[in-house]
Amino acid sequence: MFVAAPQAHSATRVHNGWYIYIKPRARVLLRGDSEEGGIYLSQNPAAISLQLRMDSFSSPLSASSGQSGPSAEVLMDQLKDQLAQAYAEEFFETVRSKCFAKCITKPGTSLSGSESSCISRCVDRYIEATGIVGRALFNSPR
Amino acid sequence: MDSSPELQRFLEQEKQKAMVSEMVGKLTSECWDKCITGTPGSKFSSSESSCLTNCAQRYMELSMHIMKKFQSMQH
Repeated sequence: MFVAAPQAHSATRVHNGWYIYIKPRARVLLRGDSEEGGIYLSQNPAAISLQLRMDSFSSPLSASSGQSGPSAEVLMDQLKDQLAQAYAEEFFETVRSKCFAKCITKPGTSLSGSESSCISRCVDRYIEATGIVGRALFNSPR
Repeated sequence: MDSSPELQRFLEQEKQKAMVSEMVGKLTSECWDKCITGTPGSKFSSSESSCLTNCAQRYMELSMHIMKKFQSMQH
């Protein structure tokens, strides 16, 4: 991950403050820019923001050939990976926050045994709760 | 490349999936706070798990209620 100034081209909001945008392969390199095209997932395309950047994709064709860049399929795979990573990070953050609230009521100089097992149970229960809520949403309520 | 219909369709699909994922995440967070009041155990009690289910379904009903109310307010 690195901090960079993205160039947003019609960014689409996908998820809770995350935007995706397609950046075409740069024809003119600005200082600090990269020449790779691709799909980027960013929290705020209008400002300097964190980018989840894939390992650099380079077209097998030379930059001077005028080809348009990565195929739709490559872009879709890139996006799926980035989305999966973003979801995982967000879930991690949520679980961390919930279990800290439930299990660490009086922070000591180290994690006690009961705090550790509470955290472990909490993570399991939260994952289970996510499943219960997900299923409840897709069974039609009476 | 930017505007291939296949890519647009895919983006639209991913956007839908992301919205669902966001809804589930938000609901789980709120229902957890409402329903899991004590220290997490090694399994949910039946009242905890039915609370979670009820919470999610009541939330969706509430959503529908509010939408209908807004609609009726416009006529």
